[in-house]
Formats: sequence, C-alpha cells, structure tokens
Amino acid sequence: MIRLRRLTIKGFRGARFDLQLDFTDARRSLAVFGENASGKSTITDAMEWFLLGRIDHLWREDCKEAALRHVLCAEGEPCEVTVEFSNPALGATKNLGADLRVTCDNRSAGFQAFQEKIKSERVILRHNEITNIVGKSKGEKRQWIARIIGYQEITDFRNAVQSARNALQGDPNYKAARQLADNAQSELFRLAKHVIESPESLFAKVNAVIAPFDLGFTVSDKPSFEHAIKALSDRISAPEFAKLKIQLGEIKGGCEAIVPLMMQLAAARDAFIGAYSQLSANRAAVRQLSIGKFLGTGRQLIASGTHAEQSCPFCLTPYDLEKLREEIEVRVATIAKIQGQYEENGTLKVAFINAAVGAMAACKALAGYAELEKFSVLKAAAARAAAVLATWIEIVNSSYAAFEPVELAPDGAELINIFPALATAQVSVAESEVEKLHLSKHEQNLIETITLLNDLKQQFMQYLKNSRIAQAFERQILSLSAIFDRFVPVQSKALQSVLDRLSADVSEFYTVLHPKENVDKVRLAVVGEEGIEFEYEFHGKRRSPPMKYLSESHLNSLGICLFLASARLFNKEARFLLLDDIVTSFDQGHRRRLLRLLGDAFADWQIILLTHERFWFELIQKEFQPLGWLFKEAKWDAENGVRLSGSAGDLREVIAEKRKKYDVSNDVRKLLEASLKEICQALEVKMAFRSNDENERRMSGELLSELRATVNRKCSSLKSHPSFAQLEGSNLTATVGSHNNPGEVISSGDIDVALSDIAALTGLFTCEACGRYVEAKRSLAGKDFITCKCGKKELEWKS
Amino acid sequence: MSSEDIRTGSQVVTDFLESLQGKDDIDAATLNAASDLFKLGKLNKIQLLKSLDALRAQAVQDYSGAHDARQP
Repeated sequence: MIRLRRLTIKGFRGARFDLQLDFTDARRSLAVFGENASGKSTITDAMEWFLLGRIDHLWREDCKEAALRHVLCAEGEPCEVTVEFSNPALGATKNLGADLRVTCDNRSAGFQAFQEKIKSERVILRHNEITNIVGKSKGEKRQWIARIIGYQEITDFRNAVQSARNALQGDPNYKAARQLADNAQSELFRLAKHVIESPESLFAKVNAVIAPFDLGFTVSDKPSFEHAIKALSDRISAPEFAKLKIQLGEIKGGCEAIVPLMMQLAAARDAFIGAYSQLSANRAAVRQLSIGKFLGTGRQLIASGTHAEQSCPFCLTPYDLEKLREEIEVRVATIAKIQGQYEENGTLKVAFINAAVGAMAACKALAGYAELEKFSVLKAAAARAAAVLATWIEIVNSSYAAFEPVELAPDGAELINIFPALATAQVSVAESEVEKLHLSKHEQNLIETITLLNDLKQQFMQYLKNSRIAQAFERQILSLSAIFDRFVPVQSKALQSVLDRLSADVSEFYTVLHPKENVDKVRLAVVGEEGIEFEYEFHGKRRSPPMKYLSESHLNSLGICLFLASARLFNKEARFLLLDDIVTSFDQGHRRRLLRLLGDAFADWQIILLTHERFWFELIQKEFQPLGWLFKEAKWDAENGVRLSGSAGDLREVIAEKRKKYDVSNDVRKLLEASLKEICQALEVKMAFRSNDENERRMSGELLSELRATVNRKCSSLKSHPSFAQLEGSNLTATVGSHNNPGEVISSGDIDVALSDIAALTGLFTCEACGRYVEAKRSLAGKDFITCKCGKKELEWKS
Repeated sequence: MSSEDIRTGSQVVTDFLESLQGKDDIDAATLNAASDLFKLGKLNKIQLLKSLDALRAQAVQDYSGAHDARQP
C-alpha cells in the first residue's frame, strides 16, 4: 500500500512560497500545530485537490479553481502541489495555471488507475465532516457507505433492472401489440365462431369450411392452404367474374370496416386534442415539468439538513431557508398536478396514436384493393388519408415530447372527417356492381368460401404477429421482475454482511474511546429498503439513532470510529490518513484514548494529524515522539503565507526562494532571531524571566548579548570571536531594513553579508557530520566539553 | 480484520447473476443481456432496454422463420 514521501505546496491557497512536508525515506507520521487561521488546512486542501481533483467544502460553496491560487500569486508564478509517494511511479505535480486550467505531469496509466481507485478510499477527515457522517439521513448513510465499499454497483444494478422493467410495462409498442392481437382475435371469433389461437385450430376450421367441396385433401400447412384456395378457384367457370367479385367484396368489406375505424379515430383525436390543448395552452406551466426533478432535489437537500445556510442551495443567493422550503413545496405541488394531467393526456395520446395506426393500415389496404376504374376516387382518397394519418402520428409524437401544442392541418382533418361518408357511398357502388355479375349459387358459394379463407388467414397472421410481440415483452417483463425480486434480499444480506464486519471494528474502537460509559455494542444495520443506521446498547437496552442519547463528544467519536474502521477495512491503496482538527469537542481523557487507539490499531499506518490546540499537540509529542513521529508548526503572515516550523533551516529555504524576486530584509531578521534562539536553547543560555508569549518575543540584540556573555564565560577558545562582532553589524543592517523600518531597503550585497555572518556564527556550534548543534546537556564525563548528538563535534564548555 | 473475504459490489452482482442461470421463470436471453452489459460495465436502463429491444426483434423473426411452413 501507498504512503507519502514528500508533499510540496507552492502558490496554493495559503502557501505563497514552497511549503514542504518531508516525511523522510521512512515515510514517518507527522503532527502539525498551527493557531487558528495559520493556514494549516492548506495542507489538507492540497492533498484533497491532488487526490480527488476537488475540495469538497469549497466546491459545495461554488468556490472552485478560482479559490485555489494564492492571492499574491502573479500570472507567471506556479500554483502547484507535488506529491511523492512510497511508489515513485505515482509521484506527480498538479499545476493550476492562471487561466485555471489544471495540468498534471504524470500521465501514466498507473497513476490514472491510482487516482481512480483512491477516490473511493477514506484518506482525509476534517472536523466538520465528523458529525456530518453521523447526522446523515438513513438513505444518505447508505449512499455514503455504498460508495466506500464499492456497493454503488449493487444499487446501480438494482435501479437498472427495476427501471427497465417499468419502462417495458409502459412501452406503447407493447400496449399497441396487445390491443391489435386482441382485436384480431375478436375478428377471428366473429369469422370462425370460436377461438383460434394456433395454426392447428385455424386449419381445423379451414378443413371444416372446405369439407362440403370434397377437395380430396386436408389443409395442414401453408402449401396445402394455398392449394385449397387454388382448387376452389379452379371450380369457378368464369374466373374473371370470380376475381371481380372477390375484388368488389374486398372493397365493400374494406369500406365497411373503415367507417367505424374513422369514427373511433375522430373520437380519440377530439378527446386527446381537447384535453391536451388546455394543458399545452399554459406553456409556462407545462415547461415547469422539466424543472420538477430539480426542485425535488432542492427540497430533499433542505429537508436532509445538508444545506443549512440561509441561502438557496443552488445559486447561494441569501434567502430565508424556511420560506424557500415553503415556496418549493407550493411549486412541487403545482408541478405534481400538471404532471398528473400530462400523464392522463399520455393515455389519451396512446389511444389516439393506436387509432391512427389502425385507420392508416385500413386506408393503405383499401388503396391497394381499389384497382377498378370505378373506384379511382376512393383509391386516391384512401392513399391521401393514409399520408395524412402518417403526418398526424409524427406531429403528435414530437409535439407531445416537447410539451408543445399539437397543430393538425385543417385540410387533412377535413378529409378524415368526410371519409366515412365517402366509404359508405362506395359500399352501395360495390353492391350494385356485384349484382351486375351473373354467378350461379354454387359459384357464389365458392367465392364466399375463398373470401372467408383469406379473411381468416389475414386476421390469424395479424393475431400471430402481435401476440408474438406482446409475448416477447411479457417474457422480458416477467424475467426482470423475477430478477429484481430475488435481488432485493441478496442485496440486503450482502450489505448487512459487510456492515457486520465494519461494525465489529466500529464497536471495538468506540469501546476503546469510551470504556465503561454504558454505551457499547455499536452496530450498523440495514433499515428498510433504502437506509442504514447506527444501533447501540445504552444502559443495556438497544437504541437507535445515535442522536437520541449520545452527547456531541460521543457523536464525534462515533464519526471518527466509522471513518477509521472503514479506512482500515476498505482502503486498498492508501496506507495514510490525514486527520484535520478532529478532536475539537473531546476532553483530555478521550484525546489520550484516541492517541492510544491510533498508536495500537494504526501502528503500521502513516498518519498526519493537524491541530490548532497547543496542549493536544504537546500531548501527541509526548506520546508519539518516541515512535519516530515528526512535528511541525504552521505559521502565517501576510507577506509569506503559510510556513512550517519557523526553524532557521526552513527560513533559509524561504529566503533562497524568495530573494529572487522580493525584499527579504524582514526574513533575514527572523532568520537571525531563529538561529540565535536555537543556539541559546542548545547551550542553555540563561535569560531574564518573562511570562508566556513575551518570552518568545525577544529581539536579536538581547539574545546575541546573552549568548556572547555566556560563551565568554564558558568557552575560552571562542571568547571575543569576531563572528559575534560581525553579527552585531548584520543585526543592525537587518533591523534597519526590516518592516520595523519600512522606509529603508538594504542592498543585495548587505543581505549576502548578513546571511554569511549568520552561517558563520551557527557554524561555530554546529556539527558538520550530523548537522546538529552541540548541546549543554551533552557534557563529556570528567571533561569541560560538550558535544553534538553524534559526538563528532566537541566544544570546550566550563561547568 | 481484513477486507480479503468481503465480496465487492461487483462480485455480489456477478455471483447473483450466475446463480440465476437455468431458472425456469427467467428468460435466458434476458438474463444474458443483463449479465453481458454488467460485465462490460455498461448496465443501465437505456443500454438494457436497447439490448432487450434487439432481442425481441430477433425472437419474433426467429419464431416466424421457424414456423413459417406451419402458418397459412
């Protein structure tokens, strides 16, 4: 698993110049202390941006990339975060340009995969997120945990199956196929006087119909069916008359059939257009349908308490939240009413479309039958009516989908309206033409039989085709329902099994933090279909939710425990945690227990702890310094932004970076002070007592004077060493050029001299081998000498 | 405690889909459509409906072809 080797932040948030955290080759843990507003959270922000490409608390407030560049960062200056990991291949620098474009110098597939995986891992915990975890609604907890454990795929699977099934059930093609199959079956029943659902039952009926003609064979398939038609036709002595009679019969039948279809169509059209035109006339209302989901999300957001500020959760305009909630409720109710009307119109629309499709098919058939000269007007009208209906179907579908009013051309509507009268008139014409044909009773019988067989075939094929389509839909609907029904318990069981594992750790951690406090056996449980909630025993009784009995401190503990447990159980990449000010509401006893928990359960993890509380920081130092932790202090000033520690070494790095472009007189003064403080501390130079912060605010002159006096007393070899006198001069130069005297600017040459003098003085007391000062506490037994930590540098030091 | 023996979301769904093979009340083609899309990481309502649409068209066509001679 991955740990941090080095983090370097530059021109990002509070860090103006290089802010570097070196975790050493041993990838050690680190604690950072910084007063409030010292900018220590710049470290957290930088890691979050680097790992996730966003900083949640900023992004939620719509403060995005524009909020990341340091305010004094000029256009050509970098704003970047560099992270080196234990795996060097994953190291990268992410840069945010002045145009707010983000670039990254590591484009390897390995780095991309790492970034993708780490998005679902638990790495960063900030104080304000702790109670958020516990305070989430049941559904939000489920989402939160599902994301951590990769169970979003389960939710997505379930949603896909469920929504696809619902869509199939409402599919207009399914409904139309079902309707057309039923219509064809009714027609078959009228023709055959009984139900015909299979080729076998159809052939049985056909054989019964042709039996009186004694054809000498039975019908059992397509060839024999066609053979029967031909055999019957061959028995007609005047085949041209027979053909004409059949054609006239088809025209008459077609005209008779189309009349009720056109009447149904007109009724369906008037019903739909009448209802829909009222709705679509209020276009502003109909268009609200498209923002219904948006408002629903806003309502949910406010109800859940996720957005608690007095502002609109989307545009952040200041607004009374309760008033906003009420207004949303009114609008959602209005939209729900419009949605109901829209859906009701949807049913009318489907009925209209189905009627139009049926009438169009009948018109096309009629246009095909009417080959006779006498019926040319009918043929032309039927073809035109079919074209009009095709246009209507297209207009209705597209207008309805776009919430637009439906406008049907008046000339087309007129044709459809007069068509029943035209068709009725043609029935009489066809009958009159049939009467002119002189056919024997036997021949008429043959023709009627052939017509019946053709009608049976046509209706049966119509039934067969549409029932197959409907069955295909039903097979899929039933299958998806069965998959969904079986999956619900599997999903809950799988989730509960993971929660049980997670709960074991949460409960263990919680008991470490709060032993003997009558709250134990903490457990996460699936609640209903959509939720997850904490359960626990309080004075021996099962309780839920946590808010019911637990104090803020206990709720915080629960949030921390869940975070730590989920990190330990599910992190596959990150073996490091960044905990930013997480103990604000903890008392001292619980803080120490948290340290013990981290020390025991996370001994092999790299932890970065940030805090603004001095006492807590010192506690961490005491507990974890022996374990090899690193410690830094974050300080901020308007000129330099966030810096770490303020040690002389750090200041030297800042000066080296900054002096290329900026005045560093003030930094040189700080470096001199820091160096003298470090030497005085190492040599245990006695100073006049001052209380609290006053002790820290000693000027360089006082420090140098006391150091010089002590060295003169204890170290004859350095007595009156020229470095002291030289430093007196540099001290004067730095003080004159610093912010204490803003009118004065010292030259670059003076800066070089001052840095050289400081280096010369520190060199007197620093070991070249280990880089540490000699220390008064490291005296050599029996000698008046002291040494550095490694022992290679010795300095005379009278006791 | 480690996460080694905790099944991922993907494993849960994969195992579940495998357990449905051969069930009488579930159409094999429908099940396979969902399984194939899930394996490809493309299972959502729209993709599933597209697959099922193609399956229905194919099923109707296959049926007509197979039973053509028996129809009138």
